[in-house]
Amino acid sequence: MTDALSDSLKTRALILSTLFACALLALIGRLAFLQIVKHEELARLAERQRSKTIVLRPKRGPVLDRHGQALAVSSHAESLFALPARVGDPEGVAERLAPLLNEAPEEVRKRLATDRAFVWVKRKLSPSLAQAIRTLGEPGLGFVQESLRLYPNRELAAQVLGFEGVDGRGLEGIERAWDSHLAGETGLALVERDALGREVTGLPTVIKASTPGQGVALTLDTTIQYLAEKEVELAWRRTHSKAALAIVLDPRTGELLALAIRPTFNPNSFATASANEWRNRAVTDPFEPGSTFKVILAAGALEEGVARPTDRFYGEQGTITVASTVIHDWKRYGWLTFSEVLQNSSNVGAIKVGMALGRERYHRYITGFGFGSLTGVGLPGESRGQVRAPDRWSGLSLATLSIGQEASVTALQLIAAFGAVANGGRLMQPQVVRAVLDSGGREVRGFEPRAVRQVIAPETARALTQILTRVVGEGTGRHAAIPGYEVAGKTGTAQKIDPTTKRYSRAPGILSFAGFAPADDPRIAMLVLLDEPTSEKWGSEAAAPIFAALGGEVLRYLNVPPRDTPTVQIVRGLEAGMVVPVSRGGAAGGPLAEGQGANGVPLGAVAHGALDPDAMSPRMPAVVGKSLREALSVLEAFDIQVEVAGRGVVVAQRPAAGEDLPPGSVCRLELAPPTARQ
Amino acid sequence: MIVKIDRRLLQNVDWLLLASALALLGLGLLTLWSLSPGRYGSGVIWRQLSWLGVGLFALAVVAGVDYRALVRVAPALYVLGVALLLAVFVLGRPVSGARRWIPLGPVTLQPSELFKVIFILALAWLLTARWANPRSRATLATALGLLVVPFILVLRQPDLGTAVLLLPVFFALLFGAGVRLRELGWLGLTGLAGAPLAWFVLRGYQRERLLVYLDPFRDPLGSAYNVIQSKIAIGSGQLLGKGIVGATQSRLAFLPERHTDFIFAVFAEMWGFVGALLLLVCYALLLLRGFEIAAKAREPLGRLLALGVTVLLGAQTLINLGMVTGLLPVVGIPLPLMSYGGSSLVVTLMALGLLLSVRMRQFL
Repeated sequence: MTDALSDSLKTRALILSTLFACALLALIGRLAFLQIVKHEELARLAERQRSKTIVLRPKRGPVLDRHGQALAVSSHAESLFALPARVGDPEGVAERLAPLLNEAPEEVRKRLATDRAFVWVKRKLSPSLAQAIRTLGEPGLGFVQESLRLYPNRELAAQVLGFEGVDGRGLEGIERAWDSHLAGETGLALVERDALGREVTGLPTVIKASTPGQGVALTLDTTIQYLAEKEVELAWRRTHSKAALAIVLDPRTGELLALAIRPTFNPNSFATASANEWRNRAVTDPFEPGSTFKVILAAGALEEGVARPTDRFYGEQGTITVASTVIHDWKRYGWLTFSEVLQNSSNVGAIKVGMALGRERYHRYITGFGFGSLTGVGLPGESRGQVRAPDRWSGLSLATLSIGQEASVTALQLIAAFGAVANGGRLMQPQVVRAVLDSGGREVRGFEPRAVRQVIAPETARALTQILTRVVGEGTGRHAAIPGYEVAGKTGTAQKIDPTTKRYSRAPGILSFAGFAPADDPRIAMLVLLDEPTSEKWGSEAAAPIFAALGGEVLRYLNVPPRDTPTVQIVRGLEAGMVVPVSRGGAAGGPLAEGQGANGVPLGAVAHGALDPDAMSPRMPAVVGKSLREALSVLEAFDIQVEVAGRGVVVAQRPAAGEDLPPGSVCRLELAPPTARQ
Repeated sequence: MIVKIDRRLLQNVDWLLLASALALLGLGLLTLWSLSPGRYGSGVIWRQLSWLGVGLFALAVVAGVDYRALVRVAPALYVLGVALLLAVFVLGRPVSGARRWIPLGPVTLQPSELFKVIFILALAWLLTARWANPRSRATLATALGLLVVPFILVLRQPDLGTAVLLLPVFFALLFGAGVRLRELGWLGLTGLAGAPLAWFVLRGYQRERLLVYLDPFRDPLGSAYNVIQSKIAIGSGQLLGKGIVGATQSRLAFLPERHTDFIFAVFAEMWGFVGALLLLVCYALLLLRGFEIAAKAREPLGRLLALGVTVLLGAQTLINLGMVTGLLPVVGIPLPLMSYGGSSLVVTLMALGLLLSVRMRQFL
């Protein structure tokens, strides 16, 4: 190719590119014409189209509890519309409609007298009312199916559920956080013309049908929630508190079983309440935890080997001076063991433990237990609380943090941290949604329990649990004791900072009790909290009894066998073992009663399946994986002797499940520490 | 396949070209996502994303292979392409009256899309063949033959848009190969003279679209509906747009084909004149870069390929935008890099790969 030809061809490429550039400029001109010059006219056309549009609201998906009981459901409602141009006699129609709608005829007539193609006369009528209006046979009136949100249990778990606003969007709680799943897809209908512009006679044409929303299954248990609501309501009224709440969770999974808050509201008529009632305080309102925080300190101190339960700390006769600030105890304590520091909730003792642990390490455990970060429970408006970094602490901070001041936490963070102690030191992410369901109720997405981290070693958790059982057994938490169960827990009393004086107010602040039970195999972790009670002063006197009352009810509902029910009697000591005769006809009743009373709890179900009362020979139930107490309560039904070796949960049994178990025979159980649970 | 990558090749990758293409792909995905948020919309997004993965892989492969090797097998590719176009009539799955797709397991292949790239390769092969002088009548006649066969096949599918696209590519390649203007003029005139004949090849709805273009008030609620809705959507976007939530014309399904051919109207409603301008700048960068690569190519084959790809993408962009803004009749072609659709996306990225290949090797 010659250079001249090559140059001319290069020119040809440039000519083409100029052509394209011109065409692009022409397009820009066209866009400017449409979007800047003619925009008013085109926007008006868009508006006119929209005014002929009816948005069809989909049926919102249900919210269910862990057993599939409905907490929020949508039922069909019908909405009455009019095509004013087709309503022959607006006055007459208004006269006839008004009494049915329970409105003034003038109001109805005003709605009909419009030049719009389409108006809503009244939204969300009951089917019977709609039928009554249909029988009038008025031309130009019609119905569109819509859905009406109902909360059948009224106030139950109101702050968790939230509610649906008038526009069909979820405004609080689960309804808001899971709106994109619950809402479904809106449909579209057109009046007079369909999307292709064809003239249609009569009623609106559905262009796109609405798609119903998905269901959300929660981890809440309606019965436990009901029990919590009842106890919190009672306590709130009796103590004249500003607010009260209780959280129950399963420490093994982090699943929330109940979350009850006062003051509350009825989501069916949410408009009559205000944000004060709607707010889910357990996640939105951080507070200074006070003495319950000493448990976090103790966990760090034990894990780091700074203190053993029997180590002694001098109580300084109830007064200690840190950074020229005097901090008092409630009593003039002398020498206290580490365990007694917690039992008596000694401030001086706790401060000394804190000094021994040091700011960096203490801070590591505070954040390790999840304080200062979101729990990820998935409820809207969650607060992180406030935990300052150690380099921003003052000279007093280590001392005040040791007694639970100068940090703020949410109730959910606090109980999740206690749950971690109950769960062998492993922090579980609090969880409130169990699964997402399709419109047929089938599970489309499940949420497994999620471990956040191992905060302290299982042995440390066990040692701490022992101390916490002593807090309830002989310390400040006495009133939290539940007959028949071993409870581990800690009281908390925190003054609030008076906003005017900026100092700790003398008025009662937040009283709380956090703990778990049964201590050796925790099934529930629970927090009870009273905000500014006016008729009680100490944490142990106000929150603890509520903990005891609610905890007892929940444990019995969960069929957690009480410590003293099986008529256990050790007849023959073995090397590292024992034999326990359990006889039929004890206080707990026969096997069938045990199975049926269980309310669907697997414990009873096993015994039930294995024990047909009509069967001639009883069969050995499966008890592997159960705690000794659970196993004994199952075997109690048989007239046999039980031989036990080891501690912890059952890892082996003889005879095997399903084999004959004649009366008087000996059954052998081998136990091992429950570390394998994770 | 083992492709030896010369380090100099990588140094010469055209990042500006790639960046503007990626920006357009990103804006396209954003628009698709905003059209249908929530779980029902994710299907479209995920499918488009997986096609994007396939397309980027194809781009890398095409860019990695020496285009001279590709052109050597162009005659075979051409025969294969024509065979696929014929196969559509037998195996094709009819979708709204047209047989354009061949089902291949879980996906479908649109041979007419693929043929666009094959056509560029085949024509470039002919015009640079040692035995063929681009200025000879015989070469021109052969080129015309290469055009007419696929043109009629695609037109009969019917796929007017893709068939029409072959024309600017054809003329641009002849122009770029140095064919005398007088001869090009004769070809053009012959084409115009033959146009009335094409009328009989067109399907009824295609004729209707052309008539509507000539007279918009012929049937404002029928055939012209798309264009009217599209203009309303674009115009109501005004200067700054209505945002994702406010773009009611698009989201309430007034606008037909909003994921595919009319996606620009959605974008213009959401982001207004300012957003649309940004989009056009991205396309302008892409195209001007393409022409620059053609102009700087040091040998005719690279120049022809770069020219062919650039004119193909440019014409497709301009025709689509022209039709969405009501400047041109509705011929139904997707907007390159933005519209939803697997074949179109993959083929567009392959074409860009060819362009990159030329650019990367222009200094070797």
